[in-house]
Amino acid sequence: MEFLKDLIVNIGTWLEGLLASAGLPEVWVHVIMLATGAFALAFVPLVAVIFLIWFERKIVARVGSWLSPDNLGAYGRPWSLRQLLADAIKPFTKEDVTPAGANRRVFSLAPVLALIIAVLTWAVIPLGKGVIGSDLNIGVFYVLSLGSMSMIAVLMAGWGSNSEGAMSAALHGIATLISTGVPQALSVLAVVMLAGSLSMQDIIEAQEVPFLFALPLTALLFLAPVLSEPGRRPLGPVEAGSETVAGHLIEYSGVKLGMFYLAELVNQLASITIFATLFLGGWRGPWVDQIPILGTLWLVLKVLLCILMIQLLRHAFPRLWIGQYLGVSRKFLTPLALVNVCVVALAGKAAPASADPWGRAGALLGANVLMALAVLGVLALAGRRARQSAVSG
Amino acid sequence: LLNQFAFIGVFLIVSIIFGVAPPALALIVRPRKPGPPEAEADERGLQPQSETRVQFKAQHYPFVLAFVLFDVEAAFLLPWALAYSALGLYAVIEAIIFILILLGGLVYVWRKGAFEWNSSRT
Repeated sequence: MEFLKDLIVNIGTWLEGLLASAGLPEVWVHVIMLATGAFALAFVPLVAVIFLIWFERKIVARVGSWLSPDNLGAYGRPWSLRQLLADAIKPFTKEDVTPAGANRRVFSLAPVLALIIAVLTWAVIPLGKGVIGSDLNIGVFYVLSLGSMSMIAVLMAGWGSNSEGAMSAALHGIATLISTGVPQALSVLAVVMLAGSLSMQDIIEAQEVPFLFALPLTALLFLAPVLSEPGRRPLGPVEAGSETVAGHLIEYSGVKLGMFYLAELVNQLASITIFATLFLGGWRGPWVDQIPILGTLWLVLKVLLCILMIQLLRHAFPRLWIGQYLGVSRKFLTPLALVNVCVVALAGKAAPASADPWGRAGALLGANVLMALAVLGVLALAGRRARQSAVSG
Repeated sequence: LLNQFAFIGVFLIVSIIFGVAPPALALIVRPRKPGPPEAEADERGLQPQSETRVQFKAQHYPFVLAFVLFDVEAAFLLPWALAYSALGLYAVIEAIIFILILLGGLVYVWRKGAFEWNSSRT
């Protein structure tokens, strides 16, 4: 029972003890521990994504009231989970076509790079109390910089395919990623200000009160780009149906296409987990101090709740086209993110950290509500002016 | 600290293995029947109309310039945000003035019309 309470950490200690007792030199024990940890951690997102697909299909089928591969009946028992196995194996058996005129090297490297970057993010995501690949003291910065790197894979896919559709879609995709990167980076600033650290575990430790209550607008600013993960509704024009057919992936087939989808889903899961870490307190929850393994359960529950909310949002709204989407990001999210940093900085100084955490959160929440009202006022004014000029013009 | 970055290094190697493994596996498993219709750049049924690598109008290049500005700004502000709890009101107000100057830049680019998506010009 004692062993189960802190399962993941205890398995690590047990393995280390086993290796040491086998008479291996200390350096080798260390290297083997690092490699085992890295392999185990890299499997987490890849396995989790398979269940993410299943969960998404369940939601999508119910929202759209249609039959989806989650209704296989006898063929997919139990709960159509066998379909996932088929989905994982199928891309490998497909013919892999490289179009004539494509730059072979760039074309083949793009999906590999996309997947590598997607997996790398997970090195700094805390999965439980004391369960983290590497608690870098620049954890958040590491995540942000990897986020910018994923643009390179998109551009490589578009340029390497050497076809008009793929290239223009890749440029659209990069414009989207660039536009959303700025408000996201600026929203992280507000979190770092309150937590006083860039390390993911420290940010979780700082959340006596989840930052969602203290910084709801910041959470929204962070979530807007997550909602717009490439190729996903409502804000995802990278893969826009009527405009670009299949986006930058148009020329891909077989396992390379599968890898792009996998990378996309791994990225999406990573963003949602990071959202849960930054704003919902990650693995924090009741009884975590006594039974640390519960922390992982809390994190999973929070992530599932976020996915449910995001999916419902996605399927409730129509898709924006790229001009509208970039407009929202540049004219609304970016200025709001800048003002948000200023307001949080002032409000944080007005209610110092020595005060009790709920009082401080309340003060910040009040500042956020005022800011939200001001934003709504400005939007109403701009809307009225636009309507007036439309009538007179 | 070195230990933490050592893990990132090991994780990089592992993720490269994870990235290379699927295509390598597919190389063994997948069927291979290259034919002329499959080898063309077909855009799923539509034939390409012209060359891909041509000059085109970049809709968003002024924003990309502004993006560099804001990213550098975020990089500048991260150390400030990190030290925020130790800073006095003076340093906070100075940072806010810095942000406001950049906000002025954003308004300037906006007034210049760089944020408008223009689909009429080609």
